[in-house]
Amino acid sequence: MSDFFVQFLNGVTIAMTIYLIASGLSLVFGVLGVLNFAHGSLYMYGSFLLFTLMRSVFHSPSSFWIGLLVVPLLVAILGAALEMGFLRFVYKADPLYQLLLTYGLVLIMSDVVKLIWGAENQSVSRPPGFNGSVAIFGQLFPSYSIFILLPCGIVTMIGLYVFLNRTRLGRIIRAATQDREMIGALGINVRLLYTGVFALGAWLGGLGGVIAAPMGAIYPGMDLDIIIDAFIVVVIGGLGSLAGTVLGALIFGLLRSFGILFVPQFETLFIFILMAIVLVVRPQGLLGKHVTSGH
Amino acid sequence: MNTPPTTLTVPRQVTVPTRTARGDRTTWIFVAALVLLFWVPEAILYMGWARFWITLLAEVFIWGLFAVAFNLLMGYTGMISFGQAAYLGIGGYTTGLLLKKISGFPFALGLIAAPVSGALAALIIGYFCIRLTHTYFAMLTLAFSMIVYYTAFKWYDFTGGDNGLIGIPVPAWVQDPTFANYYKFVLVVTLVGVYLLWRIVNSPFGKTLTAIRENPDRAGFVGINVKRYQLYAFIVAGAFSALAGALFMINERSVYPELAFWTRSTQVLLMSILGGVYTFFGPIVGAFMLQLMDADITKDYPQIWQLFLGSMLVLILYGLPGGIMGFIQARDTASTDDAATRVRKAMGEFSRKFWYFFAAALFFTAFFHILQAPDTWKTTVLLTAAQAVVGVVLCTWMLRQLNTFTQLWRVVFLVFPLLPLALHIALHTPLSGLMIVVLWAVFIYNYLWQAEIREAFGQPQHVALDIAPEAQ
Amino acid sequence: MLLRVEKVTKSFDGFVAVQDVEITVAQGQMACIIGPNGAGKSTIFNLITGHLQPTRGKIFFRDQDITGLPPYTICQLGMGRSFQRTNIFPRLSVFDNVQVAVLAHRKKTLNFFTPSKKLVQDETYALLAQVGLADEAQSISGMLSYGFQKQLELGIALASEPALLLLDEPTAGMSPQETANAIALIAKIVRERGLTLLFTEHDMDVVFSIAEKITVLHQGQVLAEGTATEVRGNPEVQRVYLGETA
Repeated sequence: MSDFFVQFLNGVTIAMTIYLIASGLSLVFGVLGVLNFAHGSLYMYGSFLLFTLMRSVFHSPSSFWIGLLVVPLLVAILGAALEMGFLRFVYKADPLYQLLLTYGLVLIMSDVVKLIWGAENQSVSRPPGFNGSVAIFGQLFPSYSIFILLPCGIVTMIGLYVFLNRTRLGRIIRAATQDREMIGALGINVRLLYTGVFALGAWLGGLGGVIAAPMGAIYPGMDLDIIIDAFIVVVIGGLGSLAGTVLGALIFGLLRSFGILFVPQFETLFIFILMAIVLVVRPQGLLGKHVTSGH
Repeated sequence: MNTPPTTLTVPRQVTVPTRTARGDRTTWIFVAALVLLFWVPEAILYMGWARFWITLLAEVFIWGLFAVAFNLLMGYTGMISFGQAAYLGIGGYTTGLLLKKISGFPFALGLIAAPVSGALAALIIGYFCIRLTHTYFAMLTLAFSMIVYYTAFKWYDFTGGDNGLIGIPVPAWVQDPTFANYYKFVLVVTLVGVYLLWRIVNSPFGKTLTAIRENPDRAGFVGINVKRYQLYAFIVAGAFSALAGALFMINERSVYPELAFWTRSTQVLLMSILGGVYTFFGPIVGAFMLQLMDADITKDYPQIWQLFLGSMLVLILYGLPGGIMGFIQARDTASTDDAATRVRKAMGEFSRKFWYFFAAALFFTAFFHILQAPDTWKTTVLLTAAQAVVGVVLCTWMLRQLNTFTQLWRVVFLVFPLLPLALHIALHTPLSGLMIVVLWAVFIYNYLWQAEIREAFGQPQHVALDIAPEAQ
Repeated sequence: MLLRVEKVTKSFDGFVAVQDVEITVAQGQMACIIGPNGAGKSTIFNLITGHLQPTRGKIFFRDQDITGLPPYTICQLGMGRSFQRTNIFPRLSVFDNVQVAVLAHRKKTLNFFTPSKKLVQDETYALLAQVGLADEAQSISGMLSYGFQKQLELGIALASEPALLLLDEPTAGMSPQETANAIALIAKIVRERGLTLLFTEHDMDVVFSIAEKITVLHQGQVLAEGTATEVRGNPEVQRVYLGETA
């Protein structure tokens, strides 16, 4: 029983990490209709920027907290710049073109990372006080996961929910998911809204990059690795549905965690099979709205 | 039923269909290509160039076949697959496994097994995929290709896992130290494959596919079972892609799961876009250019290959969506504007997009130069800034002159890219730097030489064009 | 009766677009459906051609139950249709537009190797000539003027050699001269080929000039039905529809 709980907790941890990243992807797709390939790149830049901040600017592991505050904002600015410079011209084009454009950005950003930070793996240490482990049911868990990763994930979830459902701006954004033309007709500055939403998505991606950084390696190429995982999560949960992203992330995390336990060689395969099954049986995802033509 | 008279009467050219003659001519082009290309390895060896070029060309041919097969789906049927590399893997592994595990298995049979297995796999995968459209279709093809990849990766006992399948027996006449035999073998197989695809694309089946691409609803209501034909297209594309996979395998005499990895699918997508998805030979041109640029840049500047590729992609998407060969502009052709307005809008588009190319050319000249001579980077930046200022002033003036529609300026614009070209040559930037200038020239030609704009030039029209909006 | 629409109802998530509609069209007849915007004319067309499934009711074509069949099957059974908003293959040439329809009709679409330009040339050119587009054969259809595109629509619909021709607002957006020409052409073709015609219209002059049987729809239900004289004289129709313009 305790084994089960341990794996469950492990799965939830994985789920939280991928949730943070996938939520931005899902939000941007829901409002702007763009499946942003470059979202993984934004996540990567979050990690690398944190690395620079902690290593070169402040030389101290406790600057993690500053990083948590500052880096997502920087990534949001980067995202806004990308949207204004590139994406905004292709909203009217075929969704394929948008996807390809974001892929072009992935390629560019991928090499720029190498030019700026070099091609080696980097790492950041966990903030002081959270270096150790915590024993739960006799198994050791990194205290970082329990006390930072999980709470951050939950806070983000609640925060997004409150923002989208209880604030005026959030309602406007949700309305934009339903009907983009109407929003403009209601006198709302659609351009600004789009840039803002994209920036918010980037912020979430950057936050994911910051939070995930102390737990794993920081390396060029993490953008491609993570974006495939994020795609799987949003497809399973439902493109454009934030509750779906939570569900998708949970399924992804638990599948990975229990998968490693029971069928260690094949858990990635199973995840892709699940993705295929969801697309075939219920293409809108578990919690998504019905698939409309055009996507 | 007469159309309302337009301010600018553009005489429509009535052309009698001469396509019968052209079609037969193309068959001869294939034959000519075969003959000409057959002796290239001997030529290369004679000139003393590196043997590497022979392998490179052979690989380009295989990519070309793969790209044309891919484009059957994308350009001709309108289905964008993100997982076409799955069939590379299926073809490569099928032939590889048959040849390796069954001793004495005939080579020809093993080769034929590849497209057969590709077709079967495409039948199964396609059955599920065609239920979806666009983004979801793309995602599902991606999922299936990753399933193929991971199956090959994990099934250690059968496929050799991530070590791949190595030491596959291949007839002696294919292997030889100069790779010339391999080259010829690949040339013949890919030419035959591309020729077959050419016939398919021009057949009634191919026409049906383009109708489905253009308007699936309408195609349904001329009696076409759209889903079934999409599945057929999927199967044909899968078969030829698998053949390409087998060819890849034969060179290395080994096959690895990476053959099916999703980045290979995006690579063929890029090739097709670069060359132009709405033409038959576009993807081949794209394959050639991409592999050439790859070889060129990864030699000296491997660290910026993706940067360059990404920039090319962005540039093409903005400025030249029809690709290099794309003389059918992928613009909204269902516009109800009259000719004069269309010309005006096109000129506006031209002016806007011109600046993308300008910026890209400037950026990459400077960038490559800095990479070559990093110490003098400050001078380079200053020079580039100066170029930018001068260029902006000059080009703005030129663009304004262009709008008077005098023939001279059209020619000036076409000749203009020679300037940055000369700069690139003087700075010894790699071949790929020239690519941007080539694209720029193609872009200018595309816009200024297309039918309606061609008519507009040579007529002092700017007065008429100014009042054209009211004519609607 | 060539076409029988029997008590067909279509509702979308509670919104009832058409209710208990009955329409019959006899062989060789020229019938018309009229009604204000939103009356359900296009919905009826979409139901007949299989683009929508009726919530209730049945549709019979040549005494065969076609309810629920997919559009491509219904087309193969002998129906041809033009669409309200021009629905062509924009990047294909005019010739290709019609040729693909002819090829589909002649069941030649699984031919993988014969160059298509060698096939059905005569039939395609004949169709183009009949709808007045012979000179435009090589033009890209998406670049044509609206009027020409409408002619092309007709050509594509005729390529399937239908027994029943459904035209959805064939003269929409046309000037009076163009409308007269279009209607003359349609009537000529229908009579020459012995087709049955069912069309929807807004232009009353057109309707009364050629329609032998008129069905008036209002808010998804049949309001009246009969010849031009009968419908014109019907007080209900006058009140609801013609009253404002009479």
